[in-house]
Amino acid sequence: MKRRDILAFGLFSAIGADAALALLAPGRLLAQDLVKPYRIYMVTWRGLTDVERGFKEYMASRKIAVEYIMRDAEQNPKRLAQFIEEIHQIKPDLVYTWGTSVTIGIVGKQGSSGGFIRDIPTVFTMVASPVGANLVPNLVSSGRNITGVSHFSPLNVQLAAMASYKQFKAIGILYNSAEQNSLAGVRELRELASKNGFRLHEQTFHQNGAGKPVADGIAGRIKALKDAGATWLYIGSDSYLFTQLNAVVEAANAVNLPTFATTESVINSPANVLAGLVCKYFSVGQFTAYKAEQILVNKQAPGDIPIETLKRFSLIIRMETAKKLKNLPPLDLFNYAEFI
Amino acid sequence: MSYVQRLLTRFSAVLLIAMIGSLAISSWFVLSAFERALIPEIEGKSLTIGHSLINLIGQANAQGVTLEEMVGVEEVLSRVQKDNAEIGLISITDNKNKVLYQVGAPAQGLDAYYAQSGGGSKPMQLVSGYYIVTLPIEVTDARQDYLHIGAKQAFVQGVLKESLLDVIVVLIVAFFIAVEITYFFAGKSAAMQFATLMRVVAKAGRGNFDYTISAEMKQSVGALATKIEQATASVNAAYASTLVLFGDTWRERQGKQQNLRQASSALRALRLRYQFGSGSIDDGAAKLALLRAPLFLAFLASDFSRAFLPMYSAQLYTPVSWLSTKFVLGLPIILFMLIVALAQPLLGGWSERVGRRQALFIGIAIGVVAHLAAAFAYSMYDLLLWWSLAGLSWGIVFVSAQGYVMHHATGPMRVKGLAFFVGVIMISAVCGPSIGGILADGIGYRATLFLAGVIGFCSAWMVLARLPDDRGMTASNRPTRLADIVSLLRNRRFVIFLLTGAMPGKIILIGFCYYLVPLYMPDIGSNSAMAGRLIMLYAIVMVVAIPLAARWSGEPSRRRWFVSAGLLISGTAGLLPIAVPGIAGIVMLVLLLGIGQSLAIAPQTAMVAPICKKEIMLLGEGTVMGVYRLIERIGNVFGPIVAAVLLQRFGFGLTFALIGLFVLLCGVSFFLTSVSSESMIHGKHSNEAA
Repeated sequence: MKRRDILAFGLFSAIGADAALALLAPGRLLAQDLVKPYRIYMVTWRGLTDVERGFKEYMASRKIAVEYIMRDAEQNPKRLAQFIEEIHQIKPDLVYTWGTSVTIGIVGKQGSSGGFIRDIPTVFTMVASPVGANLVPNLVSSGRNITGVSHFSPLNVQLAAMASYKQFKAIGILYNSAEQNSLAGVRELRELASKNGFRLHEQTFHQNGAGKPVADGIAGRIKALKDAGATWLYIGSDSYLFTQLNAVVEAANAVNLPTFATTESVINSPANVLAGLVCKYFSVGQFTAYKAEQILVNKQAPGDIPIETLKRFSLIIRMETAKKLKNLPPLDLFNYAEFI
Repeated sequence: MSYVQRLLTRFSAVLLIAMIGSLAISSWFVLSAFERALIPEIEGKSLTIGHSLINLIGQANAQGVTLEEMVGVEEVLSRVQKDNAEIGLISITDNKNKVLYQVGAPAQGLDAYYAQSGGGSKPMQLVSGYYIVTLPIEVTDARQDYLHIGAKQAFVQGVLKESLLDVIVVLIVAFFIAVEITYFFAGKSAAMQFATLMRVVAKAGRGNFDYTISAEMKQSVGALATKIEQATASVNAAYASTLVLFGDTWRERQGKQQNLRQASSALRALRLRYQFGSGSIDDGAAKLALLRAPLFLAFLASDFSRAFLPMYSAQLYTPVSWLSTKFVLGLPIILFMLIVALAQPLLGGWSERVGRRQALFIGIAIGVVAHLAAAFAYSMYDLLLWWSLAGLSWGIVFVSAQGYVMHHATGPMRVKGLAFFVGVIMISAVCGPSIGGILADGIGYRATLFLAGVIGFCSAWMVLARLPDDRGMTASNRPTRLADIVSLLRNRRFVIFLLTGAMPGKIILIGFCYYLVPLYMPDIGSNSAMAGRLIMLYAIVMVVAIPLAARWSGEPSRRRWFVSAGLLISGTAGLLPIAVPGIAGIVMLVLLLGIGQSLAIAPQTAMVAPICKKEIMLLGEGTVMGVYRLIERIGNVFGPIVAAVLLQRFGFGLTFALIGLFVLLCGVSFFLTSVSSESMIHGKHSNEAA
């Protein structure tokens, strides 16, 4: 209970002092709010997550009347085109897009042509790298009718969190070399490795004849990383890896290689990941709702609202795994880590 | 000594003893109260630290991690120890009194202490140099683990020693301020007026009736003064009417009568024997006394920052690409000294023209602005501007106060007057840096500078309210001209004298006391208060030693011995920080520097006249001494410059030593070169005799 209070406090400071103050202030009710609730068209990739729950909770706590139109793409990109058509018809006040695929499918990459949504303000969420995905030119201003929230803690903060658990001279990574998103992440890690003076050992998933990754030989690749001297297995943002998460983590645990996650879904999955530094999805949702409020209530243009990530992250440690691996966190971490 | 003076002295003595006595007693109480409060304070802090550690252990325990399994426990304990200077030992023991974790220096006798742990918390105990508190680790209560936190006894003693030193400093300063206050009241008091009246009566006894008694005196001494005034007035009136009568009679009889000539010669005799008229009483001493308090306050305000100015600069430090860090930190002092040196010859004439009182007021007012602005300084650049103003202020105050003293202390009073002037400077040097250092450590650099501004303000007000207006006096000294300097620098012996004696002395003094020592303090784990105490120690040595040295070195043939010895001792001082590390070395350095400087100052000044005999005949002694002072003060400027350049390259120890070696070398060459000049003087003398 106590820890949760502290987290809540951390959230307020993450959202920003002005927002925190606004949370405390009595909700402002405008005449039009009474007449007509805002209509928000929400598109998710694979059903409801904590992000939407956080979003709705924030709106409710601010007494902003909202009518939600919920749509789930069910991981099918084709459905997005139907949604675009529907959006044109019902003309909601705001569009909400979850994840990189949905966001690109609804508003398009920057400079793209075609029937994407342009005239209706859009907030995206859970986009790991808005610049890398070519959605926006920079994080200060999208220059378009969109803004949003990223859910990744900065890489150097992740590395510092790993070091606070266990000092390392080398880390290992297993990724799908056919995935742009993964390649971008690996590039960034390489840069930090040479800057901060640690080694990065890389392994890629085996590919079949068609260039598609396959699950063969995961255990061998993990062992190779361990044998090369890696202290941690870094689990980056890699769609294929997420599908093989159990196998990868079990292989790592088998050779006593600690695993470090960077998203909440990974640490919360049944796979026995040791630790992770993540943005809580619920908090990400609240922060996304704060951006939506700026557009709907404060009438700010989305292009004037910076794209941000949360400033406070949660270090989550799976105590059961720690004990199994005989890799207990140092006493200091009990000051601020969360245990599951 | 007159009866009244004796009375005054006794009154002052009683006042002083009473003040010092009460101060000493109250200091004692403060100190012992502090000691009583300190121990529980430390116990409380140890307990707080202990509870937070136990809380953390509890969180790990709640996740099923036992004390033995815990990782990084000693890292946490070390961090806590590092964050709390007084903590010397943290340990965790189990129910078998086995030490599970321990950081800090273990000591004998701890095992015995651990063995008697158990039975819950224990009050703080002194064990093997640690004030130890023991707490049961309640979260693992069944196991009976204990956390022990030991505060260093040496730390507690250090804090007590530190506060004892502060109290001593305050006592010394209080003593000097008590002396100042006594002078302040004595100057204005009825007793002082009475003393003046006694001089009037004594004068009348010698047949001098040429004075009027001021209204002020009549007010404070009352009926007696009025009586004396009436008596004097009637004598003067009788003389005047006799003159008138004689004149009338002389004109009437056209000087033909024999007895009229007799009257004429009788009147002439009367005039020779007595003086009549309405002149003023010579009250130079009283006028000097009026200057004392405001002058003391003005110098005190300026001395506040001596002990911490380089540290304050470091706080505001902005890199200047073409200057080294250490040099930039010295810049405020360098500029201050440069402006003081240059202002002196230029300001003498100005202060006479506008009047000493006005000049003094302007000087102090500039100082007030400089200190207040420096207190709010935004960057190194504006601090430099404010500190240049402070230098200008100091220069103006020095020149105009000196002029005031010279004007009001004439004839035999002059030596006394100058001693008074130097005395005020020395006493403020004792009180200012030490109190300033204590204040800086307590309320911060900025607040201390602000306070200096406020004190300056009081001083400025006193100058306006109390000093006599003396505008429109004739200038007594002509300003120093470049030509004077040039012609003096043609005197090779004088140049050697300056280069080997006067300037090195100043370089080592300012370089050490105002630059290196304050900056060195954090390096040896000390603070601005200690820098202030050290400068105070230096000033006290000077106060005691200068009069002695001046007396012993009176004989001209001894002078060069004294100056050389002074330089050698000062130089040796520089070698001490390397030889004796820590605070002891720096204390010895300051002591030796004080002795060395005291030995050299008076005889060195006395040597100028014989060396510059010819120039004094041509230019006058005032000009020659002016040039000497100017060049000596340029040495003040070079002090921090040389120190900063060396410090950037070599660090503190070597910088002290190198400057020391340089001054040692100067001492030797001074001795050798002054041998030849002495023999020259003697040679000349014998020629003249022949």
